[in-house]
Amino acid sequence: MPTHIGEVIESKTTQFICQATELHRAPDFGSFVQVQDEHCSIVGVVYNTTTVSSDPSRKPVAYGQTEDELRRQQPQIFQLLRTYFDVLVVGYYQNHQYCGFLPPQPSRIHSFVQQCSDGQYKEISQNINYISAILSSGCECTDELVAALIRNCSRYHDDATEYQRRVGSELRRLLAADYERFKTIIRRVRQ
Amino acid sequence: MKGRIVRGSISTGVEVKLDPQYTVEDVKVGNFAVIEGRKYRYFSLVSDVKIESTNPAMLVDSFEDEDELAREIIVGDSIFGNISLNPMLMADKEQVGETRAVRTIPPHSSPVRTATDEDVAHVFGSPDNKVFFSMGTPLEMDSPVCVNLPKLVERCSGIFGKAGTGKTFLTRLALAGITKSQAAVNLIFDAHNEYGWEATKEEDRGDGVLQESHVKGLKQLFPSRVVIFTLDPESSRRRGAKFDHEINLAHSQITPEDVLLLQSQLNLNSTATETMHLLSGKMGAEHWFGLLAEMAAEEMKDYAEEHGLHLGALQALQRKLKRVYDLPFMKDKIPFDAVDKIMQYLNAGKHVVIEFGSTQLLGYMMVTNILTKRIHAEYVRRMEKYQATRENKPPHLVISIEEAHRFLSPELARDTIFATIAREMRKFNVTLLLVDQRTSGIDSEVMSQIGTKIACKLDDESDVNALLTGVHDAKNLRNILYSLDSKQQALILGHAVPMPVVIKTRNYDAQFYNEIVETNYQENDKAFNEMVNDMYNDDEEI
Amino acid sequence: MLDLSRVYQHIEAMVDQHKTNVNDSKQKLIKASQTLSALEGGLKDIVAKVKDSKTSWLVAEPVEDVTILHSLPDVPEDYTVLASDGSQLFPDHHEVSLCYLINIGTVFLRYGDDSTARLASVPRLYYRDEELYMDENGAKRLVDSQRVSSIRTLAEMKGLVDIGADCTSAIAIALTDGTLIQWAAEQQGEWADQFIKQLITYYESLKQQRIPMAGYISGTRSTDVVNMLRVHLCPYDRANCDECNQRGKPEANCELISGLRDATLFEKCLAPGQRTALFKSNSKVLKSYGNHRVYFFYINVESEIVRVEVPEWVALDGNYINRVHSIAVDQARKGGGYPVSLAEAHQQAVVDGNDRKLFYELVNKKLVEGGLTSEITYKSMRKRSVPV
Repeated sequence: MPTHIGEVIESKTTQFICQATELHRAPDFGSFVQVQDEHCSIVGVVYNTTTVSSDPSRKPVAYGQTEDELRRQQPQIFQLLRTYFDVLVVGYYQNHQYCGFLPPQPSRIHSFVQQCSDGQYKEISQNINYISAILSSGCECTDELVAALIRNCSRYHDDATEYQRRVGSELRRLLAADYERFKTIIRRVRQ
Repeated sequence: MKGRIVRGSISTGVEVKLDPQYTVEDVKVGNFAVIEGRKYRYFSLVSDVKIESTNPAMLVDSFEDEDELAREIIVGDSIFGNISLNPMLMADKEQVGETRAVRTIPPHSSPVRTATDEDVAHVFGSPDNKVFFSMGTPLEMDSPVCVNLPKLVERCSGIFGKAGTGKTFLTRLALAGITKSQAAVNLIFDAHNEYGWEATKEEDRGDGVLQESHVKGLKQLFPSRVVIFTLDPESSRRRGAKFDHEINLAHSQITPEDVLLLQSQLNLNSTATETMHLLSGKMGAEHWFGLLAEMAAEEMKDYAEEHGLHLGALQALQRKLKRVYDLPFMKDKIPFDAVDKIMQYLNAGKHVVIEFGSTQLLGYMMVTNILTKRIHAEYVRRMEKYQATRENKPPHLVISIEEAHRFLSPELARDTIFATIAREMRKFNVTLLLVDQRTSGIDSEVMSQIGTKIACKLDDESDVNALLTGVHDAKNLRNILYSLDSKQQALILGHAVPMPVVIKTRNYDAQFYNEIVETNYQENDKAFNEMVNDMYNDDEEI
Repeated sequence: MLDLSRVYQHIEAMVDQHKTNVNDSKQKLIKASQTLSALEGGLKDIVAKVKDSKTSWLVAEPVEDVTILHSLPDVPEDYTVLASDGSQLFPDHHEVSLCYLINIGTVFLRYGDDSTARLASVPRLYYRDEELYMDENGAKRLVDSQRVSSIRTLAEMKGLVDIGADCTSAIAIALTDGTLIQWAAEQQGEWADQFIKQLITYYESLKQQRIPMAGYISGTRSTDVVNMLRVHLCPYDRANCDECNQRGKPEANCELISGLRDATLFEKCLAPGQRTALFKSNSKVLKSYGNHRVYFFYINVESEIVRVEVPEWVALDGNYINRVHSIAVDQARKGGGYPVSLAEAHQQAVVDGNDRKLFYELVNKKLVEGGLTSEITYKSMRKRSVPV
């Protein structure tokens, strides 16, 4: 089992929030992660990463020093910061079969979160339901997220261009009423 | 071309969304397409090609360089070719059965494809030179499009197109087909000497220089089945064209109605018309023309006084008719009656071409009218006899006339024999093949009687309108008509084809000759010569 | 509910009073400064007089010339600072269960190339009879807040010793928040001996670990040095308040500077980063500290004058004391006026009202789960919700 990169600390059916195992070591924006549960493993996409003070009553202040200087002179502040990442659920594995829709149960709190393997990337992104899941999620910067995911996923397909076209067609179908938005996203897919 | 049905109705036809890999440029108006419905297969013509989009904003997008992916996704799928099809025929998918007129439309998202050779054969039949005769191929295809010859001759038909569009070649093809198949016997009034013997054609060699070449006439292709009559033996000799008989007209054969047909050419007014009828009444229909021709001034004055006619009118009539008297084939007396001879040939199943040599329009009209009238009368008589006795049915006769509008203009149509034939349809086993460049010059009632129309390019809107008078789905066919090339392309619609179709006209060349010519020359020649000789013998008896 | 409008006039009166005091203080400060300066070179005399004096107040005993000012030694680049702090929930009869909780926050900060930070908190719940009740001359009595605080002090020290065991740095110090002088222990009767003994053991451990320790007292109100000046001002050769006929009289010499704090006195003469001379505390409780007697000095840490208390083995080691001095100043700088290590230790230790609520809710829940009725009192219920 690969080492986990975070732990679920808040969970609902459509999203969960994880605390990264290490400060500043959250998975990339627009990458797939999975939560291994007893029965199924829930797959989601990282859509936001926050690094904040672990104590809500204490705010970080500007020290005017480089990170290296700070590490030498104020090592404690790195203990007081936490990196959290927010994950949007796009599907789950059941009996080793990927399902591109919401799981029947949300992930459990304190479950460990892992990066998805290359093989899983291919498998998950083959099912392009994730596009609609993101677009309808209402989470911030959905457009950027969709574009980042398409960029990431197309690397795992033999014919990246063909994959981008396929996903692009789905996107166009979903954004039939908003052509400008469609273009905004597509421009970010291939640069 | 491939696509799927997106909407449609019986009245407006169906619309097809082209599959993304095809563009509108892959489809042309008039193309032949097949829709695979669930129960039926539909044969259709492309009537319109449009660019459409699911979102109007996409259409105005110019797709900059950075939008390459967007362009790949949008163009072809969201901006797509929209093809309007007119389903014309349908057939059961399972068995290759009869095609029927469409009475429903294919269901949504039925696949659409370009027709294959099998489809074309299914619809138009395979050429056998008996019933199905190949006239050409669909555009961008190699499979033959056949007309059903028995159906072609069953009703009047027309070959139209402005000058130089290949009308004459189409006519040659049609006549050759009829001759070959024996679907009917032809009587061809060959005003420009194009069908009987060799004709010249000018052809672009491909480098812009026109090259003159010779094409064979019917007599050369079917030496034993075709008889050529000429009105201008001098011309025939000059051209080196063989002919079998010379035709002359006797004064006694001219009736006032025959002259009336020439009303506009002779500039006859109503007084002249009346005068002719009076003369015919008084002198007898057989003699008036000859007598008037020979009447001297003094004689005329006496005659006018005697019969209470207006001298001036009489003089004017004589003057105007002088052009008719002066026609080279007009004779006081003639060795044999051409009509009888023609009838004999026709009865024997031979095809008759009447060449006019350098005869003017006036003579052409005159002769055509008189001969047709007489032959028609003879046919009426024989058919009536046949109906009584059920014996000796005269063979089906197709009379081909050029410059048809001269005979069938709205002003004349009621009076001429051609209008009568057109209206009677096949009652007396005689039908017309009209060849013309001005469909608008033909009486609309006659036009509507034409069963099969073969149209080359027509530019004049009034001609197009006239052609499509009374045609179902004229709107879509109009697009097709306008889109025809000015060479070697034609739209065939009507009785002889199951559905309208645009063809690339078959080449009238050596290959065609080989396919169509009589197989046994010698035997046929011998039999033919014997027959011709027999006829001359008959003459002597008259 | 507090009616602010009614307390307003009291606030005004209070401010007036302060104004008077400030004026008064200025006079006293001038007098005290002069007195201090006058002591230059007179270490022996003043030590002798202090030792001989018998006062009702604590008097600092100088170890070096009282006017000496030590500059800030070089602050080491690489050093380790250990700090601990504690907080507690006192036993409460009105709560669901009688118990008390001590939460110790410890901080291990290493600076420089191998910088590390370890922040931790270790709570402990005390609920056994022997922990809850103290034996007072044969009578059992619920622990009071002093007893709990003392137990907490021990826990804090233990925390320091524990994290000190992991310290590999050559230069390290241990900081605690507040005084090392457990003056209140006297009231703990027999237990006090035991307490001090344990405390000294921990001090000894740190000494063995070669980690000098210091108590850092921010906002100090001590008057030990001023009291020393008062002894000096005493007109009698031997200051003995019991026999003084001027005792308590405002015109008495010793009253000229009474009420003045050491911090106020040194604020005037200490430049930023400087520390005062070293003094020995004369608190009675220190008699049982053995060789861990407490010495103290004041430092200007730039934001304030703080009092730093160290055991004797630190005080009398020039290296150690300079290290404590420099690191204390550096810590205060890093923490924006208060040592960052202590601040973080406090953050680790703190148990706020919300934590307290959650704690008792959890206890209550577990009691109910365990089939026990919670002993929540009526008064406590009332405090939680007061119906209208």
